[in-house]
Amino acid sequence: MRNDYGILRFDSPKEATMDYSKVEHLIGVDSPRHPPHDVVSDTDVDHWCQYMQDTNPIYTDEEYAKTTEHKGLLAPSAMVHVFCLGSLRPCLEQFVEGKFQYPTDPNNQVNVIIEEEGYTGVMATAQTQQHFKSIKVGDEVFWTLQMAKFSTYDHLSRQGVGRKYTMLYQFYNQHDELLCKQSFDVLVYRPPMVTRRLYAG
Amino acid sequence: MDLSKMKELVGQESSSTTLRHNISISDVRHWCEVIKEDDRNYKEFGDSVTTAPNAMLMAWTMPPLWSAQPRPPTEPHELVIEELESAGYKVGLGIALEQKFLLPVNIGDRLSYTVTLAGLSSAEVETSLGAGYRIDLDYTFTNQDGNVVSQQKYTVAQMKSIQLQH
Repeated sequence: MRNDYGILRFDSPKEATMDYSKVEHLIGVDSPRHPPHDVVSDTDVDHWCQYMQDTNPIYTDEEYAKTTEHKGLLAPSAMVHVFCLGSLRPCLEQFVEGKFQYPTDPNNQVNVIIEEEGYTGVMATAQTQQHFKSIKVGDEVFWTLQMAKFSTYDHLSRQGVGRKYTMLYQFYNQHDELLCKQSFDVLVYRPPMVTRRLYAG
Repeated sequence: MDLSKMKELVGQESSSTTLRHNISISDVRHWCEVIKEDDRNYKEFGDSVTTAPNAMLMAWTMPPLWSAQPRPPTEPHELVIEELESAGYKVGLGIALEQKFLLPVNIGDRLSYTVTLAGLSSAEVETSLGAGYRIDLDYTFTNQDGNVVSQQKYTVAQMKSIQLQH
């Protein structure tokens, strides 16, 4: 039924919708706790503050920071995810070759399934962060990730028919203290036929 | 543009600038990740890396991307570049860099550097990208013990515009 580009004909039968039971057992399951690639450093914090034009001395003035209740430099809380990003190589391997750094993580298993089901369009729609503890320069930020919610049925969106899901990150320091909970909402969708034809050239 | 006034600054050395941060595993790791595709994490790096790549030295001299209180130009080379920019020579093009490394740069070192305005052309010089003034800068890097770790000769062409060859 598909042509050389994998495109269905206009008169093709309706595409079957995804069966939620394929991913149900993976929803709400935490990944193992992963280690950071970088320690929280004063140089990285300084770079962030330059980009963000943040002049709070608690982040960059060590002498001042020592006089505060924190007794040293802090990192901006919104920066928490930065310390958990992978290095360039796994990023390239994921986005170019589709190879995950942690392929057995439940969220990555879900991603493989939804891509196989034809939901190849991806759109981030919202992010929230809830902070519980300050991040100090010198901290190591560990993280877990779970697919917390996943639509049980298809939604009709302007991008095409799709599913919504929410990923939940939880960040911990080296003392096992919870630093932050971060949700990340995504719409994955099957691009409509006209879009697929456009992509196919 | 007062060229003779600028010429008086030739041969003068800037005051010493101390870099914003110590040489850190974090910066070195980022560099090695981009330049050498080194994928080790900070712990593996910390266990085996004790010196910074020499070629990275100039990276630490870069001014901050943004500062709440930007520093006005005061050093000889800064004053010349400012004067040329005011006269319309707004495009600075690095055209040569010669680096001499004399001592290893260790993780944790706090470096300082000075810049000597070694030369300024008396008139516009022609380059394949257009005409401009040639500025020769001599950088000297020292560590926290006052030992010279590197000397670098940097040549810049300050031009009104770049004419790309097609």
